[in-house]
Amino acid sequence: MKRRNFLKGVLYGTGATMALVGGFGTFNKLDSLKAEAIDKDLETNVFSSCEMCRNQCPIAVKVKDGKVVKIDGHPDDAAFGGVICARGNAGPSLLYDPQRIKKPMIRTGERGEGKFKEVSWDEAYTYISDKLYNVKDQYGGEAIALASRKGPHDWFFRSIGKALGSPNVFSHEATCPMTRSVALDTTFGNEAIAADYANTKYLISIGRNWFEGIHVAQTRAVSKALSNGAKLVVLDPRFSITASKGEWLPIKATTDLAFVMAMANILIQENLYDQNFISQYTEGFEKWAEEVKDKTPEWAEKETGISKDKIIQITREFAAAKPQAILDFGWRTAYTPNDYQLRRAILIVNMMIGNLEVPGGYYRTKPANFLKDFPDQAVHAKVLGNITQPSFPKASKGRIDGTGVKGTPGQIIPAYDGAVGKIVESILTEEPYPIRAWLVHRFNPYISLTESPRVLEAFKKLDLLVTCDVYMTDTAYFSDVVLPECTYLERYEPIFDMAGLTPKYVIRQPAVPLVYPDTKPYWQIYKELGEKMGLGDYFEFKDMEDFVTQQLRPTGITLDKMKEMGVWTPPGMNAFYVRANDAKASMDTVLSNHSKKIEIFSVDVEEATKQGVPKYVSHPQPEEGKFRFVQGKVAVHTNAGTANVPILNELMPTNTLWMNPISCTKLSLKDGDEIVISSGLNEHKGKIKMTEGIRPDTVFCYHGFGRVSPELKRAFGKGINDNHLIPNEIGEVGNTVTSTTFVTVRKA
Amino acid sequence: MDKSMIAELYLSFAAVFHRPNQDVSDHLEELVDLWSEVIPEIDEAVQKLSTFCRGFPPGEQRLNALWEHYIPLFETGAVEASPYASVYSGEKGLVLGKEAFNVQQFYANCGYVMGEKSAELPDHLAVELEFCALLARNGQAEALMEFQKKHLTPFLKSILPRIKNSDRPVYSEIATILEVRQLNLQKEGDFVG
Amino acid sequence: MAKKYTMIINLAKCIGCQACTVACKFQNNVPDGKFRTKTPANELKGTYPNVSLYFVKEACQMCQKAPCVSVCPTKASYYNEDGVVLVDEDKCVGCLYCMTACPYDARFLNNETGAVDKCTFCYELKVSKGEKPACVSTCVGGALIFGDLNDPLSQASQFLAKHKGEVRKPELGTHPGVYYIYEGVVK
Repeated sequence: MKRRNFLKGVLYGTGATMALVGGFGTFNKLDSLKAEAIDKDLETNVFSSCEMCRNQCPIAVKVKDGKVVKIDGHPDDAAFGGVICARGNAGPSLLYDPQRIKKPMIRTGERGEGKFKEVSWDEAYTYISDKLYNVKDQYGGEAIALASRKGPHDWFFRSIGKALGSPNVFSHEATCPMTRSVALDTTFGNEAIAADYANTKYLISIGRNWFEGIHVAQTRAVSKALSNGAKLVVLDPRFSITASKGEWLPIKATTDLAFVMAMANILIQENLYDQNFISQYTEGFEKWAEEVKDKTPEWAEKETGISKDKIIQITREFAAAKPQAILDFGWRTAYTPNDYQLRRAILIVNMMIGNLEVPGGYYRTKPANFLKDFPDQAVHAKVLGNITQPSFPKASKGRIDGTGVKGTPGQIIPAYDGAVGKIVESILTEEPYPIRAWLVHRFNPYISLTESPRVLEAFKKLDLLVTCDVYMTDTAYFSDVVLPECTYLERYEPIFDMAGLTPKYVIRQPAVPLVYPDTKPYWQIYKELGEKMGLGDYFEFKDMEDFVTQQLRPTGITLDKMKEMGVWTPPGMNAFYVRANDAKASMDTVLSNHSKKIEIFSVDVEEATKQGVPKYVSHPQPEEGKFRFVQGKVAVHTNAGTANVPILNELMPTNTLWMNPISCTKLSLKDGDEIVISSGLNEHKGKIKMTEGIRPDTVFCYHGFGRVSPELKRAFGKGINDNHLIPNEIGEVGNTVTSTTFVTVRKA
Repeated sequence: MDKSMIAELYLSFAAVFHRPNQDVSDHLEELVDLWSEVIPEIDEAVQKLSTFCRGFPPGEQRLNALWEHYIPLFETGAVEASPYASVYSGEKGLVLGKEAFNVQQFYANCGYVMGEKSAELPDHLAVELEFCALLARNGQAEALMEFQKKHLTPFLKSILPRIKNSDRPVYSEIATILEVRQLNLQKEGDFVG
Repeated sequence: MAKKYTMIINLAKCIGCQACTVACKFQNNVPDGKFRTKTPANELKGTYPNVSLYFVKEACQMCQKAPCVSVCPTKASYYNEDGVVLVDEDKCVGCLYCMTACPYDARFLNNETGAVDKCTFCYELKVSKGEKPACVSTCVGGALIFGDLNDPLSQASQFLAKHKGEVRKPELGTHPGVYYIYEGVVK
């Protein structure tokens, strides 16, 4: 009668409730005095910020009966005006998704076999701690790598790695727009340069796609400019939605730099550039003039496939609109290994029309600490406080990617970001030394790094792989430990500094309590892990409300005020352009480099790559029978992030391979045909979309599909994973390279 | 059937549909014994369960084997049979729908709240079964009948076929047994036995 | 004074981002797999490289002579005091005549309510409280205008005075209350 004892023990363990045996004891006797009816009609609005992508747009979350029912853009923020994109609107469908991960898990089977057990947080922390210390003891702290999608979690996440003495802390940027960061750093000395789209009169995009890669404030600003009559020109091998709103120039991929250099050539030839601006604010212009001397429109026509007349016309129009014209520096993956030089050249052409710190051009963002130096503006400078940490131990070895090494390209890789693709190299080749443990936060290297099969190989070689996310991502599926983060709608976060033409602070606060009670916010996860590992000194705050209170203290803005407003900008402050009223105003504060000049010739770049001004490199074009393979973004998904979110998956569960009808005919393919795409190295199945909206020598697919984790049930196995086909090639400054792949296509 | 036996039966099902834990895992034989004793015509399922028990003696390996199937069935990703009633009762297949609030209200009306440490949503299959055990133990027969009719039975109709069809060891057999038990209850027209 | 509500869809500004589609789903608790509004791309026009594309937001056209209202045997489909076509869930018997009659394919059977469902201009939840429909307030491209045509000063009236508003399938004589502006797109 043993069983009777077991079940009876549970049933009659204690007086009023069942005993707490093995997960039981779910119910408590309700204290009748405290009996609370659920208030059916209580509806509140909680101001917070979105995290369906990285942009952190301010939102108003409607909560009814304790449940998030609707999300709107923040109504009081002029840049958003109550607007939020499809992904932001879809927030509740992520929040209440039964497919989210709910408990920490530890792998019980082989990697990739998908066998896990759930464990308590304490068990998970202990497991991670033991393994990390093993790796550190055996190989040194540098054998531990950390990679996250860049964001507010970094401060907490990275503290773990830095405290263990690892220099190998990475953001995802190298798989994203890092080449533009390199260009901004080496030209202006800082990355905090943004475009004033709303006031521009002429806008040229080189693959930038505001209407599919949506950043609500920027997309709205571009829309506003177009409504006011601005002209939009879009260079892109495929006809994007953005291209559909302007003049589409289907440029041969990888030749963009030729177009930009020809623009410079014409501006000089026709004396259309701003000589005063160039002489007052820049250095190295002569070297650039020399470099573009032979980059004539005739030459560029041959390279780009865009007629010389068109190039001349656009350059003249661009110059005529100066300084309210923008040649956009882009926000996307790198096309080529030397993509940073394209971005540098773009910045230089912009500077040739003197469009810095004027309406309708580019500007240095204006956070509070920037305003301090301007007597008229200092009143608005309410600088956030820092939360202090003890100093981190010095790493005993250099980084695996050579970031920061003088005289090598590593010199100009942004230190905060690093070349994240090198983690895979280090694991597989053990050069310059092996990475043995990898912590991943809200990042999915399997989808985001190139040559996915190679990434899996690397995963399998690790002693420890830990993933913290909201879903069982492809990377999580191969991990040893999976940590369930709560969503953005359930947590506090540090105040986000979203400065544009004025300072702007945005709060993230929970709209509802945790849906799955055993998920946690990242700050708590890494604080608790840190404490378990004896690194608690790096996390000296009680909780996030305490952290935010410390941040806000010097500003005089209270936490309650932030919670009530959601967004704070200095009352009464107007958009601030340093040169708005004085074309010769000093830009010493705008420029953060030693020279205090806009470096058309960059000493750093010269040291790093011997190319102080951008030089043209001609990349191969597809041979007959092959296609150039390009990728892009879609409005209803965020890269690797949202493929499994119920409503977004319903709107777009899969992708297709775009092909021009001329090419389809040659291959006897028709719309909807099943195909096999081959890069020579790897193959992928897909479906054809026959469209006139692409160059005949190019094929295209949207990024973020073709998932291999069966636990992403809605997205699993649907569509093409572009990175399965793109070979591993790390560009000059550690960037991924996405547009130099050639593929063949055949009927499946 | 006396009320204590009814309570034990509900509890036995709650036990296996809660997240696997060492205690329940180690006592699986006893649960199987109970079912085979009081529920008729479940020989095949009992056979399979006994085979599983022999193949995986009490201990860590058995627990891991349960996890291997519990997670894709109920917990994350594939979620072959989401254990939350809300997912099946209209709206958008999401958790914390109206049904969750309705059962929570039902618990409150019967004098219960979910403990703060329970870490589970109110309309989780195991929670509803455990609640039935509680009502049965207390002799709250009317409430039990009403809860069955309004909440548990429609939920089981949606979820049990999914668990059965998953063909996952242990769980599909237990779903079969629970289904037989529910059918018998309906035939007898007496939820309290 | 009674209102005459209208929605104006400025096609040149629509970027097909589907923010309206998703906003509507949550605002109106639209069941899985069903939509009150959707904004599919119109077929790509032209030949490479001279191509053009626009999106067309689809939803109830709020006809002033609505076939759905006239065929409804139980008067469940009706015009409210502000000229908005609505469905009274309690009166609807789910006969689906209206779905057959609607030339815009704007209706569906909501299995949760048992009644036919469609766009309401968010009349009860938003418009009657002085707010705009959910799709309009979340429109990223700024393509949607909502307002009262009986008020000559409304943004909608002013906009229609300056731009040519067209209705879908005018030949059917349904007199839609939703206008499409084709200026700036290749029709």
